[in-house]
Amino acid sequence: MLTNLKHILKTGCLNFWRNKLPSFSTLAVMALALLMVAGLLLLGVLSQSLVASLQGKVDVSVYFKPDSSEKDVLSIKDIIEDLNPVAAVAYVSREQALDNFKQAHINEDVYLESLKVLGDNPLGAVLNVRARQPQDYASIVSYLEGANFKDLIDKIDYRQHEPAIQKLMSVSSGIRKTGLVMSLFLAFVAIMVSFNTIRLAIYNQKEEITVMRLVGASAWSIRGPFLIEGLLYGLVGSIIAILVFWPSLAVVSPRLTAVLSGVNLLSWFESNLFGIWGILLGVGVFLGLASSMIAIRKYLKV
Amino acid sequence: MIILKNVWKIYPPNCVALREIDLKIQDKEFLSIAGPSGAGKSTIMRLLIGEEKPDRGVVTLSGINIAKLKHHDLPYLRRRIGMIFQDFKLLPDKTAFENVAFAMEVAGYSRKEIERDVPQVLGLVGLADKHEAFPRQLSGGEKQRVAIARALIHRPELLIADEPTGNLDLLHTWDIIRLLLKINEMGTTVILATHDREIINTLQKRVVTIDKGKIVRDEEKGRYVL
Repeated sequence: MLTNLKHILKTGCLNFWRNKLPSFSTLAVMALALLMVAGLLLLGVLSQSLVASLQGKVDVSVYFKPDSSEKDVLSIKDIIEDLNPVAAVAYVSREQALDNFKQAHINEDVYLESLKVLGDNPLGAVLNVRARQPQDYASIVSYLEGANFKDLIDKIDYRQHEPAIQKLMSVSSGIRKTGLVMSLFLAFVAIMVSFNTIRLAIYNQKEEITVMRLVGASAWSIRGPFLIEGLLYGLVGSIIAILVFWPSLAVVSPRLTAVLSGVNLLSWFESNLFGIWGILLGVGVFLGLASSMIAIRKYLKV
Repeated sequence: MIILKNVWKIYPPNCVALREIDLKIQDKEFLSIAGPSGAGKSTIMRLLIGEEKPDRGVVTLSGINIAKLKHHDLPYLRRRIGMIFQDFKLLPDKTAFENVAFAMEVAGYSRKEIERDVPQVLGLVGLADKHEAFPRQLSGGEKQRVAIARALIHRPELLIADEPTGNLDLLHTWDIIRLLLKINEMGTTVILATHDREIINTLQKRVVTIDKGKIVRDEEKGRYVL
């Protein structure tokens, strides 16, 4: 049984080597399809972390009237913090709010002059509320709008971040859908090319197959080598894909890190290398085996 | 024992290749099947190795109904039957040794068993000194001997020879026939399909004559008469 397996493995590898040109072409297409899959994985991680980081910046800002006392604001802070959907509340005092304002408009004399004219600090304290989940903001805002301390509140500022997040999510979803369609298309092409190469191998082996049937070779010892050949395309294709992807990412990643608010694609890739290669290997082997099974079913008479 | 009972083989739409074939072949018998081309000789061979199934009737080998065998059991049937052909069916890129060894490799025999058995069987067919020769370096008769060696490697109980001397000259023809007789004397049932009148008449063995799919004559010590 083991001898048989060794013979099947040896013949499969031999078939792969005998048809060098078709084999290398098949490998190229397979590697391309797998590169697409790797790119898709990366894109998924990227958009997830971008959305998460943007969502991290989202919060509800509650602006209090200038005459609300610090004591009242801090006790309201405690009340809000206790709410279930709230993750954290940051307190910005009236003085801090004024400093922030001056910093934000440091080169704009109009605002600084207006402040001088007003004399006192016209700004109230601010509470920046962050929710546990993005979908909780709506309930927090409606709570605040109906709360018994609502008279102390000057303004609740939230809506303006939402469209940006929605837009980012829909753009990234659109890109991922396109990537998925392209991956499926390339996978289909990879199956077709691999199928054709194996069909060629079956044709070239016609004489041997006839003799094998004649001398009583079992069906699987005739089919086996062609399955091995398909498997090899997937295996070697996945290795090539990683060997191309890794250095390419090493070149591109530093340039992207600045744009992508600190997301380091290369370090993510390197820390998940075996997992990513595992996925590519799985997809590659699936594509290779599928194509050889189709070719065997259609062209190999056992 | 091989039994064909009321066997019919019909190729659609209406080509009757075999009709009402009733035939019993004893163990260790030497049987010639005579008849013109297209008579149905090769069809009987294909039924015996399970390549075709009869449309009516039963084909049994040592009590096993061949038509009822599952597809994955056919290889084991084929290891009990050796076959040789007019066109030898040798692999051109393998030596004589490798051609015979091939039959053992695909059946999962170890290298040790191959090294032991192949030289023996090549010696049996008179090719002890031609291990390393490729088919293109062998004469027609020698090629057929390699094919016979390959057919014998599993020690089959039945050897089927389908027009084995069709491509050979007179000298090599008789070499092969003598070898088949020797194999028969050693205990293997031999079925020889041929349309060569001289062979049939000289052999003085049982002859079954087929014409247009029907058995027209079945004689011990038969002659080629049509």
